[in-house]
Amino acid sequence: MRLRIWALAAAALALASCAGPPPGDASPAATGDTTNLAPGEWTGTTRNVLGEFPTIQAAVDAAEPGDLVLVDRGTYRESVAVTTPGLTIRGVDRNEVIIDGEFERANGVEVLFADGVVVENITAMNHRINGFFWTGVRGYRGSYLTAINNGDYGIYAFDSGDGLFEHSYATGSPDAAFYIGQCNPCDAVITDSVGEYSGLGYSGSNASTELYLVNNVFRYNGTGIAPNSWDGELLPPVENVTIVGNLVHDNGNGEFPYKTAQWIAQGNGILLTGSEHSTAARNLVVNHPMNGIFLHANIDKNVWMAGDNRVVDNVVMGSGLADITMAGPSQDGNCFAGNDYSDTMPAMLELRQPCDGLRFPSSFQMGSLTSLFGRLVERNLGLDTEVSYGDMPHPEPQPQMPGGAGAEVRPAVNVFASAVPDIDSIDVPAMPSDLEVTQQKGFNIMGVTFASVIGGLLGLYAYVLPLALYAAWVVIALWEIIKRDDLSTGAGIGWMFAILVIPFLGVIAYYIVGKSQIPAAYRWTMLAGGMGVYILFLVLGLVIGGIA
Amino acid sequence: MNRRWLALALAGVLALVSCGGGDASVVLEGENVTLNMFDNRFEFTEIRIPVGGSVDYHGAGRNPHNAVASDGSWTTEDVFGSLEQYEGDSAVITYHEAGTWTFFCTFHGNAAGAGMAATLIVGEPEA
Repeated sequence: MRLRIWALAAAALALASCAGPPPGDASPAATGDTTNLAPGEWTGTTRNVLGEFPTIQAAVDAAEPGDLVLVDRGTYRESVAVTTPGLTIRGVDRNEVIIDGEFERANGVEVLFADGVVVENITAMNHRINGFFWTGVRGYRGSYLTAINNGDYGIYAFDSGDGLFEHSYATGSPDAAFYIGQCNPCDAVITDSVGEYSGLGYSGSNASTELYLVNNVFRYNGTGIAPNSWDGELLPPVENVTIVGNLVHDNGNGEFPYKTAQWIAQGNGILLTGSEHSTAARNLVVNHPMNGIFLHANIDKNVWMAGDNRVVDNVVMGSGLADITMAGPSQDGNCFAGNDYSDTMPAMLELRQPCDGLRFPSSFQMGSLTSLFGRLVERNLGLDTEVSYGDMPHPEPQPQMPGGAGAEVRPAVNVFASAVPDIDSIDVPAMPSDLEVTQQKGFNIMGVTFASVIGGLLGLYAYVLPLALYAAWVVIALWEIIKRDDLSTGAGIGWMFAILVIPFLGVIAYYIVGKSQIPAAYRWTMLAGGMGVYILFLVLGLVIGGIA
Repeated sequence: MNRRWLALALAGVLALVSCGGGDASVVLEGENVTLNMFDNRFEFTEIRIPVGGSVDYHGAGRNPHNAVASDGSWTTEDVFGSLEQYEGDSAVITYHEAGTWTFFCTFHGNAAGAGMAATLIVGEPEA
């Protein structure tokens, strides 16, 4: 019992002693203030780039709120900053209107605190930071966008609310192809889009509530979909994210650019990292070296634990570790039902933690976390293989926006209200004819895999070893008690009771004060030697992993 | 059940050793101070140092950041050699003259002080 109290105290102390997110306020636009300074309708004025203005930036600077900036075919070697609300920036041809950063400029299009700006039917590539970027805005829409090989994010909305990314494509970004961050309620939808060859297909740090990812394809990334809680941005934890009807496959197979977090997380289909009250339903998740769907905590300044998430009616196959994995520590309330899968970790998750009826206390396992830790050590030791974001393959020409240059002009005002999907009508995606299950089940010991060799060793020494040691201590102690003649029956039963009921401390107490007849040298080798190896590996891991 | 409690204990230990904490104030004051650049904001929105003091602009996010005076009089690029400071990168600027500047990250804010921006006051603030 003392161990439990100590454990609880340590966790509570850790949580209490860590300050929350650093000071600063999220923008009102990202926290539910519906004020949108953009006009609700097009002014009727079109600013033609090339015909009237030599650059997109020149047209944007001349435009009034609510104007259309219509961009002719060409490669534009510029970075466009937008501070005028309600503009629509439209290319006449998605594949032939290209903003090229030439790996020198920061952002393709950045919308800074200008509400209601729409960008559509344009390609942005080769920027050092982002392809398309909105920040601090209420009302945004990106339609029929293509983002290729941008150094941070492809298509990105931060600290903003009321948005839609649709029919868009992003590839080759080390952080994420699509990213929505720091908003609650986000009032946002990503739909009918493709994210590939990036660190993450979708990342959503502290992006919560009324946030829908539906009918997208996330493939060939490090990880497919990853809503996550962390302390580096405001508004943690991530909660109330709805992930439905997405095709998520082959993430973690092949090359992709990445940052540290993406390297650590690789090989998973859908990650719910410290997520709360979120739903992953009717997704098709195929071919992942680690887990198809993986719920786990994020240990940052705070420990963000997954809780009250629903994982239901997904089809998951071809997972190296397990199709559905619940790693600890976690909160209660995560539930699993109606999924089509072959295995879970821990086993029988749907039986133990169903969404309806009797639910056992939260169950999870820890071994799968060791691969994450091992990847961190690999990265810090420089054992990973650097992949340049500029080297990812360019896509085939992408579909044009219906209507093209003459399509209706609609500033991004009340976007979410008209974009919120009918979730109940969305089915599991059909298996593409060219997609086969190719991922084989990997070897693991109590969830410890060797996908990362260092992770495997850490797992063996820092996770499996102490459990094996404990089992050995208990067995040897019980056997000795049975054999001892100097103990009364009552004393023997008392020690047995202590050993079996008090985790770790009971058996340690027996060896130290129970007058065990095992020679002291052997006893101390068994106790201190084993634990010494464990502590040595744990400390090495923490230090090299950069956590301590 | 043992594993669960062991896990909780381990999580607690990990959290303790990794806990950095933060100041609830929005003002950072001192002679030689460190200003974390998170995603996508500065840790403090007002920094006060004496003449001759310094600010260590420290990358603390997953995204690259920088600090550039709105009037263009100084930038972290001058000392770091690049506008892109990633996690762990530091640029220390020593200020030898009094003054007040709005500064911003060129990637996530603007010169008007919107978004990732803050104010630096060197010496006594102007009346």
